[in-house]
Amino acid sequence: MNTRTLDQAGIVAELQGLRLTSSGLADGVEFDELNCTLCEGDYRVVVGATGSGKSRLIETLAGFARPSAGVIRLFGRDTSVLRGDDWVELRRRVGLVFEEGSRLFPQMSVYENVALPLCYHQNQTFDEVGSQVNQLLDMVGISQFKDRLPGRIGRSWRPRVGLARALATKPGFLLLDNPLAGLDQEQAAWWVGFLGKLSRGHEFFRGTPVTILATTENSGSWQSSGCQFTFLREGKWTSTEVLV
Amino acid sequence: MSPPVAESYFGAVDRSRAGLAASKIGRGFLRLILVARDLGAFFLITLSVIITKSNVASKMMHPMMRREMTRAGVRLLPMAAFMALGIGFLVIGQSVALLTRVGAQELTGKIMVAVVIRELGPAVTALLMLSKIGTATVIELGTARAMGEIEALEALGIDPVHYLVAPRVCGMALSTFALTVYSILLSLAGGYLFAFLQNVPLTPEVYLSQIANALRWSDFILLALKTAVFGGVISMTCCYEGLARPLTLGEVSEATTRAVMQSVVLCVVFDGIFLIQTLV
Repeated sequence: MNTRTLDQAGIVAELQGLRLTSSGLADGVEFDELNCTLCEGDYRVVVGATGSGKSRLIETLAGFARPSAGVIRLFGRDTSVLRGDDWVELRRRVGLVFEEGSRLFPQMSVYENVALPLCYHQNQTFDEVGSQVNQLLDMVGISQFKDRLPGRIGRSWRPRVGLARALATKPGFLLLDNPLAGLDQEQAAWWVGFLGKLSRGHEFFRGTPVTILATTENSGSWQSSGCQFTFLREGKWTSTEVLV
Repeated sequence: MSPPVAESYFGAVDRSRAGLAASKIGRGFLRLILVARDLGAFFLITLSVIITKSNVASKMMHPMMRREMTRAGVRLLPMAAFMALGIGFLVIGQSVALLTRVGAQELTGKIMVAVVIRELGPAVTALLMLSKIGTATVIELGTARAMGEIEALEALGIDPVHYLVAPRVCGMALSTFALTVYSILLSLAGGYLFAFLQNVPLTPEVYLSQIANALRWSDFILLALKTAVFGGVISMTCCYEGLARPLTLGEVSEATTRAVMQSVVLCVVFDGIFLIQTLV
């Protein structure tokens, strides 16, 4: 994976000698070291087959799995030494969109799912965060579903709820685990375009670019997005700036 | 001289059975210690979160706590009332029948205090809380854990212990206390109602003065402590079993059974400690 020079402003994530743990993955997968620097506004997609370890990379960066070796620095902080409230603080700056239904809270409406992090971190009631939630729902195009439970909306719309929820805390680094899984072409095009806008600086973030790291099984939908690619095959990482 | 073959064989079998039984008991005891250690750690973590984050997200957390109290307290009132009246009827029915025979009806109040206020009231309310709210808590939290909702909370920077456990523990501990007081009052009233219906020569003044004379100030303190401990133990155990280990959906039922068993054992142990305290 390519390493950008550190003199470029706004380093968001630095992975040094990172080796993912292979427990629970396909037999015999041994990961190569991953050295990588993601700067503000970088838009990178990791392409790999099912079971290749893409999700493990996202889990590791989000702090849900420990690497077997190496250092992860997010916003300049070594994640291996973070404890308790420091992790909580850091996680507010790292958005995560889970795979398959985005692990939404099934007993809460779409509105409440998106409002939850806002209410918690801003100490406000569900009513008080109304304007912010409506703005987020409008932004991802799901305001028509706001009063429905996640189980009552189409499968292809649920990841957008997860995206709105992840963006609620205005993270500087957005991790997406296979966001295009099971989406039709039209939906996939919306995601690729929207993530591109975020990386260039969306008005919701007052023009501040968001660094994006997404995974996918098929690079086809991302080809025109202008993003950087990293391929993961049998534990080996290879990068290209633009897919040819 | 070597023993006969059969004797040697059965002797060996007995020894091996004894060894197996000892090893089983030993393993069970070790498991108990490990569970107690984990529960203790979970208790300390929860307590520190409740204290240090009492003002974090209060506009969201306080209504959640009130909801938990409504669920564990107000909604259990009809069931608690039914059981309390039943206990009052049974205790007075049995004790009046016995005491009349030996001419010691003046002990009715003492028996009500010893049986209902000190023991049955808190114990039955705790069992009701465990069966209705405790089991539901394990299932809710276990399902949330199995469906990955806990990671989703963590990813949003929300502490799962603060968001999921603290309101439940506070709600259940306070509700257990309130429900116990309510159950005790209803049991005493139910007991008198039974005596009245059976034409037992016991006026309300005499009945109340017997109870008042039998009560000590320490009873009030112990009652408050006991109910808070029962509520705390049940809620902690149920939250721990639902949250503390990665579960699949299939394991939720097993976790529920474990939580019930552990809660009952711990409540009995604490009840024993309180009993010793009362007797000393």
